[in-house]
Amino acid sequence: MSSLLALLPSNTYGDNINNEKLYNKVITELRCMVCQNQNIAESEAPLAVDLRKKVKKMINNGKDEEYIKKYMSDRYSDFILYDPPFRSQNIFLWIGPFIFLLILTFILFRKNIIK
Amino acid sequence: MTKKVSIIIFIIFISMLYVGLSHNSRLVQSPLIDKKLPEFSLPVLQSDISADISVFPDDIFLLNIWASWCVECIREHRVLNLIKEERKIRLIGINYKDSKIDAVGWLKIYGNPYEYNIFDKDGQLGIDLGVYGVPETFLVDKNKVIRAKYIGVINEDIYYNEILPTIDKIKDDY
Amino acid sequence: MIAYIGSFLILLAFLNALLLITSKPILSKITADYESIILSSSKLLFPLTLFSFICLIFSFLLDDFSLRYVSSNSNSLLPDHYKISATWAGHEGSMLLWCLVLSFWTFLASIYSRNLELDFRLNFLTIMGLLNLGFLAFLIFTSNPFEKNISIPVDGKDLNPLLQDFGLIVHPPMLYMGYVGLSVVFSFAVTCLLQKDFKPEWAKWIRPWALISWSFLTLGIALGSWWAYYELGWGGWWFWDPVENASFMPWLITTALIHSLITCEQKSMFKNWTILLSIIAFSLSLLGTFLVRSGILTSVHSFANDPARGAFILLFLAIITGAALILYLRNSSQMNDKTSFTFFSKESFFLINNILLVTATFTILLGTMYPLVLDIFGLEKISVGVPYYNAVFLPLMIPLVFLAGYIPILFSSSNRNLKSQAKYFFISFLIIIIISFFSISLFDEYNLSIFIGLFLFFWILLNLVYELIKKIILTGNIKAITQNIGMFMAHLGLAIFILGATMVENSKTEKEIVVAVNEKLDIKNYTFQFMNITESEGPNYTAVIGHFKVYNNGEFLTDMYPEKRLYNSSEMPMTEAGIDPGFTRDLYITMGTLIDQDKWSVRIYHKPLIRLIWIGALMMVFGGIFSVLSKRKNINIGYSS
Repeated sequence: MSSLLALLPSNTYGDNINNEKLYNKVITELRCMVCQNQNIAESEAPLAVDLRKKVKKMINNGKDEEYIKKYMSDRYSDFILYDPPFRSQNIFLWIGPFIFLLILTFILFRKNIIK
Repeated sequence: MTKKVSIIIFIIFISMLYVGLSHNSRLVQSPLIDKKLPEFSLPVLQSDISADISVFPDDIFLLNIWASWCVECIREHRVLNLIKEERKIRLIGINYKDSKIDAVGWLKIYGNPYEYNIFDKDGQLGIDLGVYGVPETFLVDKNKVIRAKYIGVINEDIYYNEILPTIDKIKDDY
Repeated sequence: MIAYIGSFLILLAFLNALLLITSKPILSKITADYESIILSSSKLLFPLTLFSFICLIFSFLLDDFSLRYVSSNSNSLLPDHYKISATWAGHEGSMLLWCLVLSFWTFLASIYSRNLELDFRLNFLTIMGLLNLGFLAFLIFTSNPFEKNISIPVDGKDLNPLLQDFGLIVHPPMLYMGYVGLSVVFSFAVTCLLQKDFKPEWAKWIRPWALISWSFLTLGIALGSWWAYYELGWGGWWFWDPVENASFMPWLITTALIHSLITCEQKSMFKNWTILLSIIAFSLSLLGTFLVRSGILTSVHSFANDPARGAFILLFLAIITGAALILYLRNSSQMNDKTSFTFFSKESFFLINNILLVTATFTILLGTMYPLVLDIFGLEKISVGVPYYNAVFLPLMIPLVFLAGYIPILFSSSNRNLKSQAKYFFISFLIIIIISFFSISLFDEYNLSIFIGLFLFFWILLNLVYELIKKIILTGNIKAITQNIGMFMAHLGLAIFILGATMVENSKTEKEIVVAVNEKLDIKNYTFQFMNITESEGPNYTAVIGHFKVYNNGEFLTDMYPEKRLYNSSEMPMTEAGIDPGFTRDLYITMGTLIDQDKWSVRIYHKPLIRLIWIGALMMVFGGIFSVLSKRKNINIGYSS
């Protein structure tokens, strides 16, 4: 066909997937390392296509979300995970908003409230 | 007191943004540093051999990921040819997601500095190595442990000022 | 020739701004005419910048590739309407647009400030002049759109295919109107600090400006979301991308500001807090500008990354925000701000609203900046994406939205009795829970998120409607509607948005499969049949078009034509989704890749109620505008032109 089609990767795509919801969830939570501002669901980069295939295969082999994410981050570092893991360096990320809420409420309400 | 704290926080914030400006946010540190090379079973380019990890030498070597469709690899190839000339470090290649014909033809045009090339057609070895931006190069020690990763084109500066010193350091460890 | 005129006009604008800011501090010592100089020069900025902008547009239309900016973003084959919008597609041109919008707001501020106290007015306009000066300086010294190429190329590089779209024509200008409008509120707040005063009538004066900026921001963000939806080929409408966050943060703060201004105006409280919010809102606009253009964060929106430019903006941001904050810390204690209230009062709940909104803003800022912070300190890079924001942002929003349904009716004049309030609350709560349970049975999925979304929707809707009807019956006229129509529309818009967002995210269906020609696929009660592929050519691209026939319960519904395009200038193929829009659902198809002869991988989506997202947002926009229009009689500002 035309030059457009010649450009598209024509490797076999893999079978239709059984556990679709999990697949669709996981591929939106993995970052495309090539087009780094997209997840691998959106990205058309060859690596994204490959990783989607890989995720499909792993799900079809019965692997769960945690396994898949660990597989990816073992190879590409935590950067590939859009869900920042609960590690000690990330603790402020998860607790910060809550602390901020408390402090702000305290500051604003304390002086001004009359009982 | 809150005043001083606010000003300090503000200054810290601005400083962080300033420092962030000089950062290249695209580069990601590889989690495979100090880990052994992954297992694989792939053919070797231009031969009938099917290779696994034992094909790699018990020596320090550079593992360079390249492809004929990779424009930057042309730029890098000059330095790789230089590395082969100087014989200070061994060089083995992984031909990544390529066609045999294109790869062989490319080497004919630009020169073949590699001892041999692993033919990773599907890119699975690439995934296991965390490859995302060809060309990429791994510095592997004699125990097949990855000691460093260089993402992007290797130029003379990186070769002389980063790779060679790192090799010396590794040799001292033995 | 035109480019030289454009360049010259910008220089004139710069000098004009210089004149404006030196009038009060310097010229006032020389001549008494300095007042009229300020008033005239603040108005003159706009025509100067406007004509310069027009010169740039003409440079595009005339294919003037001697200009680097034109040759980088255009092409002789580009359709005319995209040549015009290409003017603001890149960094330099969009900065000129920013300067234009700023000069426009300055013009409006100059005209509509007649009955502000003279000294206040002059200070106010001087500060706006300072902002104009800063941006014009940035434009001239680092980002001149009229810069020449060293050698003139035969043809231009073409506009990025993703931007060759209606969205580019409208999204940035609307967004800038919002971002830059906040400069008015900012300058006003700073002037208040300088004068060490904040009269309640000033709160009344500034509120329309905040409302209109807010409306434009809402519109700009909604347009961006809609554009991403149909253009990017994935069907997502919000990605928590750093630059999206950069627009959302000012929006949240401005929402808080609007509510805070109400308290300020009615009860003369929270003066300092309102001023602080005004400063933060515009500072976040500046921060957003910095994040997009400095290369500090990876984003789909990033312009050409240039750390030198980034440093300039950062300096500007540091000076403007730093000075304002220092002024705040020094003078706020002298503002005569007597804020005190009981817990169960309107002010108290408005404060809770503000606290939640500001915390949400902090959360987004934290999520956006955290990867950068870790990276700077040499720690392992992480990504902060949708899962984080869902986990932290949404829980903050639930109480906020709950209040949005309840507060408007809580403190209306009708019932002041605490006991009857509580009775009303519990009864309405119960009724709406029951209604929500009933509605959820209409859907296939039973899901806590859907339930909460439905509950919040009905909570806002029914409370508002009930209150409205009660008031109409009580007073016998529809004044209840006309007086508060802005608030009703905006809150209702919020409710509709929440319903759409919740439904589409929790009960959407996505299938990624391989289809052969004539093969059928079922999703819910729809059947999709893949008919064929045709090739076609556009003005600057070639395309492959898939044809799908869609049946609803067996009956033919429509044809859908998803495309894959290859633009002459780019190597990456682009997807044009086939979309069948509807109020109750969107059907969405994208072509994937060719698998075999006559076999394609495609993605087919069923997205229930997704249009409500943008319909709700539009209602909010109109809510903001109506709030301004309906209150005009009460403001007595004299909007004479």
